[in-house]
Amino acid sequence: MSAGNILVWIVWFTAAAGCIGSALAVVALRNALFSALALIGNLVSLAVFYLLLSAEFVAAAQVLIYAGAVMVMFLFVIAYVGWDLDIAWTGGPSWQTLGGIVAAAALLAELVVVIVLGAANDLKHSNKIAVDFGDPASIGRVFLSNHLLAFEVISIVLLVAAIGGVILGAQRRRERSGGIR
Amino acid sequence: MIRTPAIDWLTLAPSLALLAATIASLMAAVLVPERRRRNVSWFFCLAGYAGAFAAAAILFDRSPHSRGVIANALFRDRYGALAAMIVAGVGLLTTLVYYGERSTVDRVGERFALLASAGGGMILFAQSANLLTLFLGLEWLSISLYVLCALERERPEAIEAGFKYLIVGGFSSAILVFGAAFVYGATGTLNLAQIAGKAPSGDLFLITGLAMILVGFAFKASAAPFHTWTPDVYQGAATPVSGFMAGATKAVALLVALRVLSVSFSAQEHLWTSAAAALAVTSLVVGNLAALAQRDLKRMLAYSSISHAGFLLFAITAASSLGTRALLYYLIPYGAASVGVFALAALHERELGEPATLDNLAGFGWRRPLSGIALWIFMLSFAGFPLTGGFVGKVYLFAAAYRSGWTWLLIVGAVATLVSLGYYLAVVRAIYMRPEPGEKAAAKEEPPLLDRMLSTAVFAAVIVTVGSFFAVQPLIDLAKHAASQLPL
Amino acid sequence: MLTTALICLPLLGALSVFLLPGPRMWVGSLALFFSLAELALWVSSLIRFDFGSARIQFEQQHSWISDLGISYHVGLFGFSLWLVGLTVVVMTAAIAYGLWSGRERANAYYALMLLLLAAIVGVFTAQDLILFYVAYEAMMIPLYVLIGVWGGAGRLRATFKFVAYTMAGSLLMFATIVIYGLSHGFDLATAQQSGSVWLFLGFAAAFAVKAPLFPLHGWLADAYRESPPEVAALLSGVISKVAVFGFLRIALTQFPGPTHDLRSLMLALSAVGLVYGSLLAFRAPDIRGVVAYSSLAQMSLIGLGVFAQNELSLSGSVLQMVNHGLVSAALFLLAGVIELRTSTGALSRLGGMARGRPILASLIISIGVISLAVPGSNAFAGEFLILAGVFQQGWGWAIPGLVAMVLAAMYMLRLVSALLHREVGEAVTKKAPDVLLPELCVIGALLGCMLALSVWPAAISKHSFACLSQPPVTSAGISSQSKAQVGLACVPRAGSTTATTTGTAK
Repeated sequence: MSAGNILVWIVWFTAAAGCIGSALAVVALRNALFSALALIGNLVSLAVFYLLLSAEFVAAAQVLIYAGAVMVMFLFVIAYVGWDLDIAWTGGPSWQTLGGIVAAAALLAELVVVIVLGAANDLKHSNKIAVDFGDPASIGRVFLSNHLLAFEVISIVLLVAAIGGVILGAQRRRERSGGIR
Repeated sequence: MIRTPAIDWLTLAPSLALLAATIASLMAAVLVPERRRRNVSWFFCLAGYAGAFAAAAILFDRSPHSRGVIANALFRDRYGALAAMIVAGVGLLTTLVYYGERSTVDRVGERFALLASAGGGMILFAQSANLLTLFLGLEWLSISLYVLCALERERPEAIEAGFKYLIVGGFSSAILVFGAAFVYGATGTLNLAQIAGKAPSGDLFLITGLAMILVGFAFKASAAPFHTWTPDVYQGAATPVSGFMAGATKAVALLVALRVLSVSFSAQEHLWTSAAAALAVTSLVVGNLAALAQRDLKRMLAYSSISHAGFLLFAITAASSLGTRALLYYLIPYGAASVGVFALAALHERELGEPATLDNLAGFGWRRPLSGIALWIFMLSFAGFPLTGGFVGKVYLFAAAYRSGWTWLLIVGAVATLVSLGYYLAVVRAIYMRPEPGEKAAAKEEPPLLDRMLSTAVFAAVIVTVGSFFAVQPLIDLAKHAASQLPL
Repeated sequence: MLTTALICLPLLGALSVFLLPGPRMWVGSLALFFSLAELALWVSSLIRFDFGSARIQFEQQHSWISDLGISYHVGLFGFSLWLVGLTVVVMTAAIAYGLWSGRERANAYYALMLLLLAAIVGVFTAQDLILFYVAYEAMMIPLYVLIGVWGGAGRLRATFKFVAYTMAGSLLMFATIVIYGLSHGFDLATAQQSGSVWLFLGFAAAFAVKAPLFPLHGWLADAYRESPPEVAALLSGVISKVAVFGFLRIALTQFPGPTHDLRSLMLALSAVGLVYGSLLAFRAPDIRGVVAYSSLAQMSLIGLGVFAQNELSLSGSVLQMVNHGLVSAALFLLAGVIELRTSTGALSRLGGMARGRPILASLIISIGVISLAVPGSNAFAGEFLILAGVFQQGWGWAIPGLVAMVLAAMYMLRLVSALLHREVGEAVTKKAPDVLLPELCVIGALLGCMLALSVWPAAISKHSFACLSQPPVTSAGISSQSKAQVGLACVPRAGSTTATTTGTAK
């Protein structure tokens, strides 16, 4: 195992820990603002993975668009709506919660086993990767050829999501000023 | 120079019609003056569904052979076209019912836009030929439905419903995507047709992917034990939307599930048929027993839809051409009856201003004789009684299960039907045999137009429900042509 | 075409009765008109029917669920013609009675009655298993509402029991039909016979619940007590016959092997039901209870005849089905007449009604006497044929029949004396009038049919199974089979009518 390989492993583990930790933080933190910040951490650690997979363009896009632009909008919205929305945790550990935890643990165990059994061999050697893998031109080509429809449909999905956000956000604002109306 | 793939516009036409309707309704929300807004955006939505239905019918007619189009992103085939017709039909009726929904006064344009958009997503989902478009179609329809559910902010349950649907729906989509990633890892392709045969049939990644995809579909079809969101969402959402979800979302989820399983996982048939049988039995048990305990009509119908998912899973368990025909056939009266029964629930709610329960339905059948008969017919159809299409569907499903060697499922199905009579007949008992409460008899008078839209929808639903018992042959031909294009 | 007309005319009637507005009397008269038209249609088919032929008649077939080989296939045999006739007559009487007693919500009521008529005729004429099931279940739809809406105080409980019992049976039968139909064919004329005991039991359970046979009679008393009188008349008079018809048309003909193997069981159940029902009838505290349990006993007797499975017992069963249909319908209507006057059916509170009410007394006595099978009556002919047939099967089986005949005399005389004689009951007021003219017309018509059959019982017993009257072809191979297979090979199997490959009884 060369020194470069060890470095890759260190980076990989750091990113993995960051990814899981920040994802937990997104869910666990009470304050929406902190959750959003944790989400940025999550997105950035994902970008590190993309880098490790030689997908530099995707990594850059991830950082620029998601961790940058989208999250800034996110933060704006949160700041606009207010981040002090403490929703009280009403339920105790019911049988459903316990069942959920057990099921999730079982699923995790299963996935780990499957990945270890199925992919252990693939991890031992590095794959040959085409030179133009992951560069903007090849990505663009895929978007406009093989996945043209998907590329277009994504815009529709985003449009619908935007409509939803606007409607729900506007309703919430009106409710807040509902007393005056 | 990039060679973009040829676009087959006819395949896209049904979802494009609905997309156009979405945009037109949205525009109407901005450009049309307030007092006309509801009519205009409603009309666009209706026209969108009608156009989608017509386009799907033409597509059905002109696609005698199944083939992939637009770089194999979509199937152009009769199976997808028939699914699109079912969705468009259910959507058309839902639009008629949704017109009179009281809360639509607020944000009316957007509501119809979202209703149309949900249908567009379903049709794309039903036609999808690779895992990417499949997922995007699913997200398109799901996001539209999340928002539609959360819109009814006047009622606190609606917020809960929308939130719950969002979380559970997002979770199930995530599982489906995770499964798709495993499948991609095993086979290196997203194309449904190419997945089969790319990896050895016992490949661990492939089987894990299959299991997770199956779970994702089970969530969307609300098959137990992945059903827990259903009662709350059906209860909380606007009643016509619940009908739409019961009639169309479930239909599409099961149809696409059958397509993915049969096209991509034919080598693992022994695995997914057993899984489908297990899901079917669980759904029948959970749905039927829980429905018996309900007093709220919409909750009861939600559990009944879970038990129907169980019956519909017989078709997937059968994994045969007969099963496919059975599934397609069953969905036609089932979709109609779902919209119809939720329409009547909506009618009753609007009259009373409170959720329909078995208690306040007392006397409904005598107060409104025709609506009472319609409700009766829908209940009988759900229970699979003769003189309704539900019976033919059930004969078909049972026959398919038996032909594929699942004889014990027939016994389970018969017992489940017996139990289901307990709550279906409870509705009949409520509307005819309970004494009518005095003060509620003088129900509020409604604007006539509002009534007319809803009555038209109910009438059409009755025609389809009863008609699919008598005029069987045309529907069989439709189902036969569509089913012959699946490799089963 | 005629058969389809027999099914569609009441359907048309139901639709028009439901949709046409009008006062109660008018709606009821329209319904009565439709049932009389149906009666006329039946008479015309009776005239045109060729009793000499063992073939299915007035046959009609259209493809329906072509994918599974299910078709709309209807037609009539001799015995189904008589049962259709019974249905039409009793239904006409029931509608007339309903018209006279002035049912609330007339549109719905008469529409449901006519729908029920169509469904029952459908059962008797269906030649396809799925079509048979459709009609069989379609009966439940109007019945459920008829009992649940127009019934007595305990009607909800009664409907629950009724539905739970009968649907458990029929859904089992549904699964059985699907299995049987896919493996042997749905069309009764061409379906192959099956040797599977399980499939046989699937059918038998449904019919045994509906008939009812001991021990599946738990729903009986409640349903018969809580129904409106005319619906009770239909239930015990006609709908129980549907079950026996099912045994005759499906269980026996399609499952010769299992019928033979399980004959002792079925005969034993019938025998137990016969004695048990008679005893219960003897102890029942009210009129309807007596009639209901006597109905159980009578159905068991008919079951005995059916499972004895020979020439005499089968023709006797058909005759007795018609007899009992008429008798029990008349008795339930009489019960309704009495309850209308006294608002109770409890025997302890009734009595002495003969005084000043000669018509009522004569009706009760004459129908009661017919029902206990006095020699010369049609019921005597039926029971005699059945018991003679059963005697051939094994003399031991005839003993419960004889015991039951004695018990029948006892419970019927108890009923007659409790109603008519003894001191005047507390519920019987002086003012309670005698039978009025409309009531007399309805019940008198039923009585007239009984008397006609008393004069000429052979009208039915000799004209039910055409093949029985043809010279039997005995072949060594077949006569070595059980002698009791008689008749069944040619009862309904249109495909093999020409070859009456049956042995004789003796």
